[in-house]
Amino acid sequence: MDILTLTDSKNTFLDVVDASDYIKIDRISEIYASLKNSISKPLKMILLYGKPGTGKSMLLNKLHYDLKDEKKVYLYKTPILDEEEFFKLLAQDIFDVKSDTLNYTQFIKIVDKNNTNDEVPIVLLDEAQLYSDKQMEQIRLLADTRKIKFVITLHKTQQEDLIAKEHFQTRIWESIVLDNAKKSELKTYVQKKLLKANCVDSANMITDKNISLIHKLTNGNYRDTNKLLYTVFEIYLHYIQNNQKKIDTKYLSTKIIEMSAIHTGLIDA
Amino acid sequence: MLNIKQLESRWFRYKLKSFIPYIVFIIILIIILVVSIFTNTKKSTKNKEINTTKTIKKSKVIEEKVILKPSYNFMKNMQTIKKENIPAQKKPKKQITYKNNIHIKKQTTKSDIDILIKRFKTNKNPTLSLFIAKKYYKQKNYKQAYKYAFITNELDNKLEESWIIFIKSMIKLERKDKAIQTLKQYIQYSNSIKAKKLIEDVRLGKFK
Repeated sequence: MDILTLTDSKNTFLDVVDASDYIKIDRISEIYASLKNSISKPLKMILLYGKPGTGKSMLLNKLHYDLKDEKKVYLYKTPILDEEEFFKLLAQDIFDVKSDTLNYTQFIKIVDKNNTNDEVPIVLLDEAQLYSDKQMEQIRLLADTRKIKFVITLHKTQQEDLIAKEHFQTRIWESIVLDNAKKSELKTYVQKKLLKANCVDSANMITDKNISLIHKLTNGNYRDTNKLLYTVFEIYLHYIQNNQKKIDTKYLSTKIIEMSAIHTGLIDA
Repeated sequence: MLNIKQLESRWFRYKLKSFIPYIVFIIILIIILVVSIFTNTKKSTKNKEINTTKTIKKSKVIEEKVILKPSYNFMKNMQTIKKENIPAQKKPKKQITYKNNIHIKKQTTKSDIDILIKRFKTNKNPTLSLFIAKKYYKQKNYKQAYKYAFITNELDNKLEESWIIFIKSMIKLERKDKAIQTLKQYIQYSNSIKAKKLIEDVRLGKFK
């Protein structure tokens, strides 16, 4: 195997949320279809939640990528923690209204003034657990007006569950839960990802035994799998460049997977 | 940037750590096996010793039984042969002579008596010593007959035959007075018919 293939394989697993990297897995595709269907319903808010690394951000990105040409969809990947800044940005993006200062009351006035009733703009907020309680309350009130639709992602922790209960229990029309991948799903994910990047040799290296070990180490978490495999190919690259005799590129070595897990902190050694 | 050498050594340590439970388990298993084998060996050795002792004891008992029974039978057989004059063809030690009628001559060799003496020394059976005394008496070895009759009396003084052989041997050894005195004492003690008949025979000179 050459350096170029290994480099491509490594870069395939860079932890970057890009809708074009979306891998179709049956269960995720069903969830995505359900999410897309929910958007068309007259709901106030959709909550997408799950543990970190289960693909919430990717789904949100994919949704934005797919809908941006046909609907008014606005994606905010990182939370805008300053209240004034948050409303200024929303006013500018959704209604094309620029203002030096803008609070919640002023923003509501802008919403009322610009409401056409034709199409409800959809605001996608990633990492919503980082917003303050006050901001969350304002988002809830905005959703109640039915003039802006919100799709938010939350980490599934005890605290976030509480937020979900307190702020959105009565308002959420639909909540979608994302879980870690099963072994078979992880295999599909890894293989498809490599094949998508034309790394056929690398995809052929990975055996079911490797997948079992990767699943055991990452517990099926997509982010951890990406990190692990990125390091695996980095280690392979190192050996190819410095000590080729030490490795066999026919099959993915358990030793290298374990070394990678030690490096990424998945194994405490 | 990856530090492969450091990563390799960390991986090696991790592998060692992950094998420790298995190594410990195997060591414990080996210890248990060794201890159990050692204990079993010790037990079996003890059992063997016990068995050997038992076998020795048993064999002694068996030997005693084996020795006792044939000697009785042999004696009985001999008596039966004497009384009924039945040819004992199966006995190799007996010489058979054919004349007009069949006569069987019983001959007890010296080695046979030696074997009987040897047996008697082992089991101290008064019946056997009496038998030896009788054999010696028949061979006219009165000194030995006297000796074994005396030994028999010491072991069991109720055996009539031993008294008779003892007295007869004394007479043959020319101690007639002492013999008659002893015979009288025995008659007083036992009221034996055989003894009375013997004293009569001695008086009449039928037994010399």
